[in-house]
Amino acid sequence: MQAVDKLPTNQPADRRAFSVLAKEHHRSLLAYAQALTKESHTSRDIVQDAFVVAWRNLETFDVTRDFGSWMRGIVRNKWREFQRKSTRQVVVDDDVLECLEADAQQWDGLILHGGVFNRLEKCLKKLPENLAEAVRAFYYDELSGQEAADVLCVSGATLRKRLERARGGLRDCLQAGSNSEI
Amino acid sequence: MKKENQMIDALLKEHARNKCADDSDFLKSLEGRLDAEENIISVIEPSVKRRGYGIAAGVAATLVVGAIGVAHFTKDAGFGEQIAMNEIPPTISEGLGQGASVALEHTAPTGVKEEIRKQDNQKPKLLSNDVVPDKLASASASRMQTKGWAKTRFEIKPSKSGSQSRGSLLGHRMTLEAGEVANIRINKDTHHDFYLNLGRSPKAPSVIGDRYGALTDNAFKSPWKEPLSTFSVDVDTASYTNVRRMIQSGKVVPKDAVRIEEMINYFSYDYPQPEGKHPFSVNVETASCPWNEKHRLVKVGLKGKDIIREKRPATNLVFLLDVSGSMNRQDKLPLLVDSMKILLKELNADDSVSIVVYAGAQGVALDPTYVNDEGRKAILKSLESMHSGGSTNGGAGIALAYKMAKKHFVKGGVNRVILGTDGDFNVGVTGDESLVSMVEREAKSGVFLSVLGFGQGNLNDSMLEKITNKGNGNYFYIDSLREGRKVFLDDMMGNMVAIAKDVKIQIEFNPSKVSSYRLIGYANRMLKKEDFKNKLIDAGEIGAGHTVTALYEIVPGNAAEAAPEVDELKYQKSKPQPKPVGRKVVDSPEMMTVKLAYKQPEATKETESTYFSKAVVDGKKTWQQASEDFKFSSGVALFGMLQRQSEYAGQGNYALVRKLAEHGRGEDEKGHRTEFSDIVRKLK
Repeated sequence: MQAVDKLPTNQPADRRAFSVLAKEHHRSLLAYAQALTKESHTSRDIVQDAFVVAWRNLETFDVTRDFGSWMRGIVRNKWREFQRKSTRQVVVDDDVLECLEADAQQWDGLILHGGVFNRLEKCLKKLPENLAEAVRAFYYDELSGQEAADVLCVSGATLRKRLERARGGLRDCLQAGSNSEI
Repeated sequence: MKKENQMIDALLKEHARNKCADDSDFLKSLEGRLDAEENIISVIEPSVKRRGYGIAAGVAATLVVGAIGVAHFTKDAGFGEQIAMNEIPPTISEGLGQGASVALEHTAPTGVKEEIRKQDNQKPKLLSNDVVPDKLASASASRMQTKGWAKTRFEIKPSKSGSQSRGSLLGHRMTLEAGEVANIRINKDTHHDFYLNLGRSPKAPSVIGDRYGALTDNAFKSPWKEPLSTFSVDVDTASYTNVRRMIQSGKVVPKDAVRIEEMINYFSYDYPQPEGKHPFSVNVETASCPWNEKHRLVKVGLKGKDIIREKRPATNLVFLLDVSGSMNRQDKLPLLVDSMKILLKELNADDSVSIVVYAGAQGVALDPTYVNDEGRKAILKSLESMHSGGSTNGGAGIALAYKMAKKHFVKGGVNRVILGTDGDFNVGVTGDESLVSMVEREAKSGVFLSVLGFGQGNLNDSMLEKITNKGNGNYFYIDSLREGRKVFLDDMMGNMVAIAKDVKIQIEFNPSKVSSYRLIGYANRMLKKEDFKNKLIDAGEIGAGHTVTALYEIVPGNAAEAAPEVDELKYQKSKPQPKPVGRKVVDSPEMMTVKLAYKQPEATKETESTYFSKAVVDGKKTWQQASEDFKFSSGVALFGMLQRQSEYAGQGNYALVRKLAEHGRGEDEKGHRTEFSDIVRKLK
């Protein structure tokens, strides 16, 4: 596991190694936190707090585990803490949590091969045009569902269907990438 | 969306935000927090030896035994409120402290104080008979033991009276409010080291204790009756940061916490640099009003002259730090100290820093020190030894800070007192008015004031805003190190170096083009029309590179024709008539004239202001054709109006705010505008 290689286990913990790990993992953790909170600003705060907690507790890090999944555990705790303080609750059930974790674990494997975002770019290029334009409008131009549907001259239901197919396709592509390249 | 696709959904959103690149802001901010980690821990976990202020074993023991060993009530006055600890834990460690003496003190809204004192060696007993549940803030304490540490937890339960409770630990005093929790951890072996952490209980009510001054929105006015609209500029940003913090933590935003002009001015706008002799440029843009297409919206934007960082004048900064017990929270004193460290990096050997602290007594923590290598070390050392305790004598502290700033006044340089507090002034000069008038007096010496507000639940927002308005100052609210970085690093030049002061704007509307007008925000910044020409009237400052923006909503038309018919007055014949009988309107294509008054930063009260003006002709643009800054600022204004539940929001809603913010986002290098969109989306 890359985490074990880079993180010296002797005390005190090495700050430089920690920074390297933070650099490698911060964006996928931001995505993970966003999947939990559904909100980008809160997820930034949560992931920052999680890194600080990790740094404080680095000696408790179990080197047989993967750094990414350890961090996601802390992010989950921070998110629960945030949920308790907040009146706006986002319900994420255990099944979903399992799915998120499974995907994230698989994508961690892509770190050594340029990272999940690089791989995602390659996968995006493989999408059929009608799905790619739906993804562009909704995610990259940040239009709302209705606005995106209007721009593409399709119904809201068609847009939702295309987005769902695009997400499924991208997920399969990433999965294939992580299986073949590890 | 299928549950299997939720992670890819989030991944796509994250990729759309920054493609494959690292999020350098995030990493930079994280490095800053990691750097600060050791310091933060040392601030809240002081050891006797290192601090050198000699916390005796008995003092530490006071904290614990006083907290858990409850005894009797003593009343200072005949007021019926009492505090009770309805759950008394067993003694943590027998014999911890002979002579330990203090637990909690409860302040009723009337200011009547009551104390609970511990009787030595007495077994704790329940005082349930003394509890008057409806009126009381009740405190409960519970205990946990881990390894060599004993933990005690206090929770102050909400009371209907909305009162506060204070815990006093000899030199260490804390303020707890309804819903707050104090975790106290004491080293059982040494009794010396302790850790105090104040938090909020999960089911806490929103913002009990924060105080906001009442604001009334400006109404539509007819230029026929009131042709002049006069106000002082405002470069404060505290309201936006405070509102953002409340929305992000899911709290209800009190209407009066929303000052729209501070929200608009939190963001910087792309106005051109001034040309010619005046220190700021004036930029006016008109377009249709997004929330009422029949109306026009006028954006008046000022931009202060930029000063190259290297050419910044020498500074004489006096930090006035509130180290009272109420500052003893992670989001207060430790954050303040970390933010100061950011500023320290920006200063050089020409600049001097002094530190005055105030709590039970005020004192000089650091004499003026030049920020050379040696001085920098001394300043850092002083910062690291900051600890909180005692109640707040803000008045005496402010007086001492101004005295220091005047003593070391740098002519032609930046002389500024920077007050860091949660605004809990409760000893000495306490009334808003007396403190405000003291600051107003001190400001005449040419020393500027910056106020940094911290924390929640105790924030005296109204007082902090008042003193900066009167004290040639600016007011920021700092809720995170990121915000500290914005105030002290990104916007440091504008916040520290003033390029003009007493900046007033007066607009004259042409009644043949404007049926009525309304200034959005600036509700507590309005001036009388005669104040514009009165050099003695104080107004706001503009910093280097700062932008200040104001929006007017205009109902186009002819005011004279629109003026309602009113019965003629019986006793006054020469006053302006309601109808334009005998009053002539000059034929002009202009909609309005923007007039400005300002003084150079070093000018005194008696110096005459400089005046200039700019005429405005409405270009008949729609808001869709307007600049990104126009769209964004109008989006923020509408957001503020919706938060204030303003009757003037017309057809505006959060979807429109989002649209305006997104269309007006522009390059947004610092990500502030994107963050605004995120907040709006959260309210959708």
